[in-house]
Amino acid sequence: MQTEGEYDLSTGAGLTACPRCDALHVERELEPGETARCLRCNTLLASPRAGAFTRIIALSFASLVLMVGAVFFPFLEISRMGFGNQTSLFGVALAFSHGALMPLTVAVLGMIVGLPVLRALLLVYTLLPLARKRRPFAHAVPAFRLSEALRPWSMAEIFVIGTAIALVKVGGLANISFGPAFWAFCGLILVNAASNAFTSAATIWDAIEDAGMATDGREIVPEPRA
Amino acid sequence: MSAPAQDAPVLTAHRAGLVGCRSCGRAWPEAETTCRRCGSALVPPDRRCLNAVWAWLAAGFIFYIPANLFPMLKTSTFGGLRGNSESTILGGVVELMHYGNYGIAAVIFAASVMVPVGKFVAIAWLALVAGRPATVRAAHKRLALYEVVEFIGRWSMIDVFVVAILSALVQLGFVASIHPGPAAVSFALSVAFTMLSAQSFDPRLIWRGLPLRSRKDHE
Amino acid sequence: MTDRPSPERSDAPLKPAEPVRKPAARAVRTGLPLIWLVPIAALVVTLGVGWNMIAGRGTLISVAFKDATGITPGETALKFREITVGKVESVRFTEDLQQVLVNMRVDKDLAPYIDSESQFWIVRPQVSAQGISRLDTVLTGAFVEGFWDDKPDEPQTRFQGLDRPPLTSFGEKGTWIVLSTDRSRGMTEGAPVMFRGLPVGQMQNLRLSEDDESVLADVFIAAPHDARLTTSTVFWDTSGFSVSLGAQGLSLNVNSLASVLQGGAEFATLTSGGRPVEDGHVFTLQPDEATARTNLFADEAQALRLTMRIGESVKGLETGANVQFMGLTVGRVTDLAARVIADAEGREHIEQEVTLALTPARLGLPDETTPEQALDFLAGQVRAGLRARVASAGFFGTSLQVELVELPDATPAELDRAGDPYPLIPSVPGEISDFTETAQGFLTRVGNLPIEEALKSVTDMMNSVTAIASSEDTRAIPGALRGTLEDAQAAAGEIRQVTTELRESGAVGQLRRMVDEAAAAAEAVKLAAADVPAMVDQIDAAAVKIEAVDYAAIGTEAEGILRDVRALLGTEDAERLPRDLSETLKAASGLLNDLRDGNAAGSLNTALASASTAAQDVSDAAKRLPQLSARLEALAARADAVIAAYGDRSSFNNETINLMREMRRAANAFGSLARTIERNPQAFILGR
Repeated sequence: MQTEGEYDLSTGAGLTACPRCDALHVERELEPGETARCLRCNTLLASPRAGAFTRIIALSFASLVLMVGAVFFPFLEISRMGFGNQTSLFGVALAFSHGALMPLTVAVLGMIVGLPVLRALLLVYTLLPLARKRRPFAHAVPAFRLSEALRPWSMAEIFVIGTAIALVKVGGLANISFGPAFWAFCGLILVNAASNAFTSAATIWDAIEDAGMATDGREIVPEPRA
Repeated sequence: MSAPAQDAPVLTAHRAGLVGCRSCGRAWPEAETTCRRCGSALVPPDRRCLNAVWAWLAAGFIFYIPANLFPMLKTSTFGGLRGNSESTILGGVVELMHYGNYGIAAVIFAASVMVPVGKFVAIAWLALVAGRPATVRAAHKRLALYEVVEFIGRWSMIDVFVVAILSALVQLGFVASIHPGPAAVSFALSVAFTMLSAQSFDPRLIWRGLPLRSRKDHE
Repeated sequence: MTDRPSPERSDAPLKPAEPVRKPAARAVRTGLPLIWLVPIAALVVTLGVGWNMIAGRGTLISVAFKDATGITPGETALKFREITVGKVESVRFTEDLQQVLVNMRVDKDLAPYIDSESQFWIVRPQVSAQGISRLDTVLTGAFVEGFWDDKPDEPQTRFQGLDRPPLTSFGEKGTWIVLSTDRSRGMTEGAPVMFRGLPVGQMQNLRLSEDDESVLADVFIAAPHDARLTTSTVFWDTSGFSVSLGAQGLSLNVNSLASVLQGGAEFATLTSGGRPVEDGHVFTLQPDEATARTNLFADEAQALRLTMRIGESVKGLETGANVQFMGLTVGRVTDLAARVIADAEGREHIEQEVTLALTPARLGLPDETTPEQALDFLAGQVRAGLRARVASAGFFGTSLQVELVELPDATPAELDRAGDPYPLIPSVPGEISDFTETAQGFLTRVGNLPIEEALKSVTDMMNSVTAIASSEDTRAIPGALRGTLEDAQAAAGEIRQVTTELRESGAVGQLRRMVDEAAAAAEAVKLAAADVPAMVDQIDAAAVKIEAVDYAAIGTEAEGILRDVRALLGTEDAERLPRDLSETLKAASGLLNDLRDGNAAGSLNTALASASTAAQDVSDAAKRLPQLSARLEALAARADAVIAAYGDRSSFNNETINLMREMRRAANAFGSLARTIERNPQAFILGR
């Protein structure tokens, strides 16, 4: 337990180092809506939001539902001279599934589907008790850490942009029509973007601490107000 | 405790003998190896990470070469009667320009050629100058460059996804069919390794060696 | 490497900074329910779309096929009237691994119509004698086609697929009949059945009958042509081509190139009085139109069977030969056998027994005549003199048929009703006109002409006249006589001159040569006549071979035969024969006139008498010669007609030429198609 404002230079208690530029800051409890930025490099340190957790949970559920639709519904349909072909996300991944390209299939499918789903689940797992101001689940810490580590590797939105480019390339060749999965994916991107906007890692760590998970004994306790 | 004066030099965790956790921010004594809050490894901001950076970068570069030499896409229209074309990345760009799709050609060229090459150059430069004394402004610029590289890194995967979509979609039997070529795998690996390289780079290195004179040193 | 804050500096010891805090821009207070709209909306939309897809999916049906060539799960379409109404979802084996089950999902709105009468088949490229069909499925991929009617019966989901597309779809109005033949010539799957040259149906489902004795084919005759079918309709095979040698000459019948290659049948209803047919009625396929038109046995069981016995050779009489009455075919020969008959003295000898089957209707009896009544009628006729005998048929007279003739002066006989196994009709010896015999007789008569003796007499007479004219005795005759004698001598001298002229001009030699040539011609004709049976056999053999489709060989053979015939009937010798004979006539009569004018003495008379006898013989023979030569000429004219039939403008040649033109056109079309494909395969496939 650390009182806000107190710090110890030898142990680092009550201090935060900017992940980008290593500048030391005093750890402060922030009001919802406030943002704390690094003194030197202006990196966002923390930005708690009211009801952020609930929103993140809701958005994660939405992204799970949309992902189901995106995977199982037909994605794109192409037709030319009476030939038609329909593909779903599985088809996209299976396009690479010939022998030597199999690892690529796994990777592509993972990046598009697997990782976003995993992240959504992890976030829900971490934040569900926190949104209700309860003690977090047992493995919330490694769960959230994994979720943060996987963040740069979930590439759903890149996939959709790639689809758009591919369609331009193919558009001259045949007639293309979008299936429901495509729109589900677009919705998924928006949901993910919103979810990322509401996510502030430091805040969540704080919340995990404050909610009773004894992590390192350095939870910040607000200054006693006189 | 009041905040130090605005122009006072910045105290970094490294100078204070502490190590900051890169994922959750909390500061810990140097001797600690694992952050006790979030469990991630505590890595002091020194040049040891550059080994990993150079290694991943080299791997990414090695895989980038065949990605340009081998064909990305194999197109066969009318069962081979109209033509079998295999296009590399550059070949595809040239073809698009040939057909007049300058916009898309520019996008593809940017995403598949300029960005990866730029990333190689940027990461290499960052790794080379890391830790050398420079001005604060230069440091800001380098940090900006790093963030750009980190952000852009994922978007190079677009090319792989385009190939995947085309291969999955354009399976019209006799009329036209597209298959991925070996360059797709190679390119994907190159992008992955470059991303890993950028992730391994510790941006805090940029700020090491800066003079302690002032926070707002406008030299 | 750590940098410790250097306390020597003037500024304060370094302290950790405060983060730059920016207060909230505004109170961010969003209600809880609002954000949950997002996942709820996402859930609703996803479920809605999913439900829509599943509910609108259609029913799953399974069709079993022998193999699944060209079927790709997830891609192959199910089409109905060329519109895609479903898709193949999966393919698996039946429980016994003998067939492939294709599971297809059919659009919802069509599913109720798929009932137990639906048929399914796979549409693939097929090559048949009618051409290549459905080549477009090479590009678009094979698909499954289904057919069902618009009346929803009880639904069914498991079907047996057809191996080939059905040639006719059910629901069309028409009649199914069965064609039967002992060999499947002319019957192929899909061969057209024509009426007056228009295709009105197709053969399908070729199979053996249950007793393995005939080949059956189903034919569906579409309405309204099936109204023309009655039980007395005859069908005949129009495949291939037929060559017939008849009194009109050689004729060739070819229908069309397609029927040559593929087969086919044609039908016509020739007689009235048939009953309407129902589905499944069996018709016999006759080998050709002529047989069909003379074939009357709609129902052989109703034929009246008789036997006749003859003691002479029946070489040339075969089963199936016609039984004629007054030139009309009233039945046919069904069996030939030998019988041991014991005659009145108990001696046994062998007789030929011929079984006949007659159609009472053709004898003029009404349709409802029972066999008993027919026999009564025949018995009455036999009493009035009806007899059976073997007669020759055909051009060369080598094939035989049975004739029922009325011979009022025949020995009385009775129809033996108790005959075993069939009633016995009395018979008389046959009248076989044998060409070879006739020709032989004619040549014998030519050979028997006493030409040599006549000429010998003439020569002797001339010699004796010379002797008389130049002997001493004639010098003693008084002067008046001398004058006469001198006149006679002069006449004799003239005669000698004539004779000398004749001899010098080689007329005698000519005559002799002419005789030699005539003999040689007669010999040649005799030799040729010896060849005639062989030639007739050759012709028969050729007629048999015409069944095969080796036209070139037949053409050569026919040419060879006709060359022989021409050789027989058109040799220069034969042509010259009448000419030579008339010249001989002229020479002989000229000589006779000279002789008669010469006022010679009585001894001349004897010589003249003998000469005149000889001359009489010659003239008799010469009188006969025009007849013979006329006959020969008639024969030659007939032969000429035959040859003319084969000549330039004949129908035989026209047919041949037309057939060859058709073949050439077809070959040209194929050639240009092949060249197009070679030159520009894309244009062929893309149609540009």
